[in-house]
Amino acid sequence: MSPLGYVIIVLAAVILWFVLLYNGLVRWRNTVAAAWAQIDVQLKRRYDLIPNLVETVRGYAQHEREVFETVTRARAEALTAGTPRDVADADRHLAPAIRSLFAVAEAYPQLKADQNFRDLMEELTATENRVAFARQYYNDSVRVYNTKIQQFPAALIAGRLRFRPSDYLEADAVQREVQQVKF
Amino acid sequence: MPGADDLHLQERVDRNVLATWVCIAAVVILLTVTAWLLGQIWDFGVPAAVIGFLFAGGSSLAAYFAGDRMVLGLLRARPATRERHRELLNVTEEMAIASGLPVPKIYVIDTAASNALATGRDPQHASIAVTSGLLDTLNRNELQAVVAHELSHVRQRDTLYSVVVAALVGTIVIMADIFWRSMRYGGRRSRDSRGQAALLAIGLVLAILAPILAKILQMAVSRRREYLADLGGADLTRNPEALADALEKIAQDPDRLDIANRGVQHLFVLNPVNPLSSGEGAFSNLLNTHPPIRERIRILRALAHQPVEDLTQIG
Repeated sequence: MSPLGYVIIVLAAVILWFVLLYNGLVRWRNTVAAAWAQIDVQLKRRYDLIPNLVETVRGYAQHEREVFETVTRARAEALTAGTPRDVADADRHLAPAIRSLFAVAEAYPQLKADQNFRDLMEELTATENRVAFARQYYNDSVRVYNTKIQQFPAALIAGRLRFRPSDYLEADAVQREVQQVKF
Repeated sequence: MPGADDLHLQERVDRNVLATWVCIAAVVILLTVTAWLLGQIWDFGVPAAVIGFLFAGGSSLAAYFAGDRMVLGLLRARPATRERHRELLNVTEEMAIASGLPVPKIYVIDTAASNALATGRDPQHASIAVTSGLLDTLNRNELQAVVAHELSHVRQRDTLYSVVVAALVGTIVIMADIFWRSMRYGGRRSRDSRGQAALLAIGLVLAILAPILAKILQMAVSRRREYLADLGGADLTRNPEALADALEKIAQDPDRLDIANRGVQHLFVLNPVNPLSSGEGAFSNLLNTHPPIRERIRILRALAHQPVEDLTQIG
């Protein structure tokens, strides 16, 4: 084979390698973006659930007005939060407020026996878990993506092609506690 | 999909997909050769080989595309409903979120025994079935751990391999059985030389077939897959302790050999090589490694006392 033939083969191999690498990085960048969007979806679901829960508890425990107001206020605050930092801040108010709602329920045996309330509690537990697992999935995705773009040889081209490392979400102590609530 | 052990995961997926194709190829070749041998005796070798090939191809397609429904039908699994199985559906959705996989279809098998299984050729066509006994026995976290274990089987494509093997091996064994019986009858009625030759040919093929089937089944019930699914499940829940607790409860369950296991045995009807006597079924049955269940619990408990990152170093 002529020297030109070899050059063409090597060139084709390099191009193929580059295409595969580039597509792999794009796929992972999109996975991270989708994982981030998933967290929003699950947070929204949680906000939607709260009014229902408040109404059900109110039916049995009219006197606990303060708790209801705190929860409703925290929810409103969370709904208007825009940046990830605001969302995290709002969460720091909302999570204990929801917990106090759980605590109220403890004091009303009839409420605890109410099927509708139990269903809501299960949904709330599930929603808290979904939020936590969506975050976990986001962090898992970020770890793989960041590793991919920092490893040699991808590291040579990743920066130039604007593949930037993504930030991890901090584990939230409050969040974890809510997740552990048992009935 | 991400998971701390992404690279190993891809290897496992590739290995299972390859093993599935090897299994299908082996069955197609075996049935074609058997048909050809039989056809030779009555001088229509080539048409018989074509029929054998078509039959094997058809069985493979059925196993690939409908194997999951065959298994679920056999176990009389019914779809879970939100009214009755709210918690089960919720933990499944949670685990789907944690894994980044589509939410699998969820079925419930009405029996007192505690067990669970996953099936389906890929994550888009996955089904998870749990027994009502399991739902009664486990608390929410334990149920979540079991579903995570099953979803790990789906993620590493154990379910593809096991369902194809279950359907194909089942077909072969039933066919071999039918041949044996008809040949014995035929042999008794007319002791001609052709009947004798046919018996000999079948005997020969079975002699070749048996060890291969044994090997295939042995691969299907690999303990390694179970350990890896345990680790994968713990990676999803970040709670190895819950799966250990669930396994402990299931191991203590007196209703162990109920319909779920009998159903699996029906599927195989295997007498030449009987891998089920050790309590191991060939699809991702939670109990199918019951001898080392103590070992699985021990590993999970050890994991619970390690930082989560270490989990990824194993397997």
